Amino acid sequence: MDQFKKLAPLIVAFVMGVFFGLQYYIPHPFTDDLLTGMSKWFIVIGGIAMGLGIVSLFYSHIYKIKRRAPAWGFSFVMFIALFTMLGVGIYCANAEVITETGKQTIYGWLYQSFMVPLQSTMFSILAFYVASAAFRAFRAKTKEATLLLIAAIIVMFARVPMGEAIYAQIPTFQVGGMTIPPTIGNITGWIMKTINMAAQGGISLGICLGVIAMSLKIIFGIEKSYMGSTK
Amino acid sequence: MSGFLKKMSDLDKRVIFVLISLAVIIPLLYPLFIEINVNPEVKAVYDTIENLPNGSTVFLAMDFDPSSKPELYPMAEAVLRHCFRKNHKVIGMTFWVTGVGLGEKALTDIAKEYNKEYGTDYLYLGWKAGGYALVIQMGEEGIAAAFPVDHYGRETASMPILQKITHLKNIDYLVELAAGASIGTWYYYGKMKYKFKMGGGCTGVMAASWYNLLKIDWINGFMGGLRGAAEYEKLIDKKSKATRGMDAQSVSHMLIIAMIILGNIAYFANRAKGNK
Amino acid sequence: MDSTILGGWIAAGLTLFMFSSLYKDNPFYRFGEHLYLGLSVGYIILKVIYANIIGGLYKPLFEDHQYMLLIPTILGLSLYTRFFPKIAWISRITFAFIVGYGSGLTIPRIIAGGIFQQIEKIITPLGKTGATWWEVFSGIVIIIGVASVLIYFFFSVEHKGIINKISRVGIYFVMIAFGASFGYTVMARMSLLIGRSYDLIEFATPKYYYATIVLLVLMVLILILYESMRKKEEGSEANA
Repeated sequence: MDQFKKLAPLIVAFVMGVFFGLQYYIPHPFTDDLLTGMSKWFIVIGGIAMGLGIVSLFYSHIYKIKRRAPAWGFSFVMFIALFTMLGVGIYCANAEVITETGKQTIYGWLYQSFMVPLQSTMFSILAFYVASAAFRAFRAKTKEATLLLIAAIIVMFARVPMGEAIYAQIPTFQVGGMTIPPTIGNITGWIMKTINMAAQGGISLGICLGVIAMSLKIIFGIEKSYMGSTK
Repeated sequence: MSGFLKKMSDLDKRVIFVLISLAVIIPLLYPLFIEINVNPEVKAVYDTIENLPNGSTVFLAMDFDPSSKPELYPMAEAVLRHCFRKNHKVIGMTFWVTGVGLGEKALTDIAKEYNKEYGTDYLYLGWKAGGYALVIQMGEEGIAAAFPVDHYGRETASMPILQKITHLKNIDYLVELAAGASIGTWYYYGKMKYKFKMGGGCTGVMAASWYNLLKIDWINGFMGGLRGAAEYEKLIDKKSKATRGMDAQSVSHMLIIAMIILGNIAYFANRAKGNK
Repeated sequence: MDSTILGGWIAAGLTLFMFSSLYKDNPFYRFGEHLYLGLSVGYIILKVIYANIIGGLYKPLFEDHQYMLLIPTILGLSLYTRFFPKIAWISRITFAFIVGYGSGLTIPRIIAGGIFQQIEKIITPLGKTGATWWEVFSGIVIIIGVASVLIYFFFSVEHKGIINKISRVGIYFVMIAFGASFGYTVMARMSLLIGRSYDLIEFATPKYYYATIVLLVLMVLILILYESMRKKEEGSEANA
């Protein structure tokens, strides 16, 4: 039985991986139908699986309240907000807007007045930290760091209208059909579409090879971390 | 001078926070109206939608949520205004569950501006868990099969907009507004097989990597960050939030550049003093 | 009170709550954090119930009689056995099902769309008829860049001699790309702040009864009071 518990997931991963890997190269209606059917199954499993994270969240906050962990009172705030949103959403039948009149429901109002400002602000705080980090840590200590710094400054300068307007004050000359110096847009465009693109392309190729290697390891049972603890 | 440079190195981060706040708030209150130049990659998205025959179908994947709203929501509004002005039909959806309300608001607000009829001129499919499985189902079985009901719970199969546009291969252009890696999902499971044209918009964080996607023909153009949204607003001649934000962007960028240069001068000056 | 005005006050208040963390971690920020967590989880639960459970499972199963969907339902429910150690092994079969399916689908698509297509688009521009000398030069730079970056990230071979020299070229390409990425990241983060500031300015207008200003002053006063009470407590604890 222990052997079965260990082998069953590996066999399932192998069969699914090999079959659907080969499916791409066998464009027969039978394989296409199987792909479509499996996609429908995946949508059902995906929906049910969303509950896993929610159950874990419930566990951790209930445990926090039980143990009277620091700031445990805020877990009550979390639960009140959760059940309020759930209750209001069910009452409004999941509709942010009444379709006949175009009027916002209370559910939509909760979303626009509470969730949107909270989530937007949480991420906008990063602007301050990025500015602070740029000032305190961004130093041209080595050749590589200097290159990084120069590229960052060029992009920050050129990608805003003020930078373009300042650069446009530099007098230009026509030499053999070419503008000297080139416009800041052309300089940045060349950096982004040539040097940046080359590096991103190399990194992307490396990532693709890594994903293929990881997928093969999963299919052949070498990589088992997705199963969690096997004890 | 050396005292000033020493103070610069030890500057409290809260002073930086105040300076950044002022650099953002003052230009918003007192705009500078600096002209914005349009880049070719943004023009490519505009030209594609502009050159589609009137009444074509544009699939708008609004794959973002409130955390990227300032950059991608203005893009959604600008693209929708352009599509409705050209009488194109729009099908909207999202892969981001917390962004459902934003996509819904953008579609309904802009459709109201152009007196568009729901179900005939535009449709909002909303969200469903499934990711690439949804794309496969929309491509193989049809959009109505993947979303039997729309965001409002109404049956999609009988809607006029889905009578001719049944599968992904029928759409004329897909605009992917991405805050994450969903461009890969749309390409690998959608465009590779069903060969529709694709363009997009992304947050500034991802913009550098999207030049590679442009090169390898995953997309024919894209709008990068708030700047991209402002450029598109200029092209459709309807300046809105993105354009207003560019002045604040300009001032804050110049401030950060100045801080980086000053920080480096202070560092090297203090280091030279230390070596002496 | 009009719901728009009330909504404006709430949005301004919650925005200021979150921004208060820039000063110091405080109860306003913690409250906002937990409120956001609860609201978003409640929102997600509802969307999953309506979109996937009712729309994707209940209706096809009981109205369209697609009984084959019972199999993925059982597989999905088996995921919850991971919370019970004695039967947790059952959930591994479903995880293997999902992960195996995803891995199988990914491999051929990445090979075709990610690798072959990239290599084709990098090399073919050099053979384009009518290309200008600048386009040819840029094409050569791209090939050198891609190759050198790939060699830099290839750690199975020791980086010495010619490999080391090519890797250094790769690093320079990577540093320029990362610098450009950093520039764009700064742009992105500033955009988010600009978006919030725009809303705060709107909520400071007479239409919203100067919500931002009133709430900012209130919050600063409460924080000053909170800090002084905390310092008094710490002081009396130290004396004790």
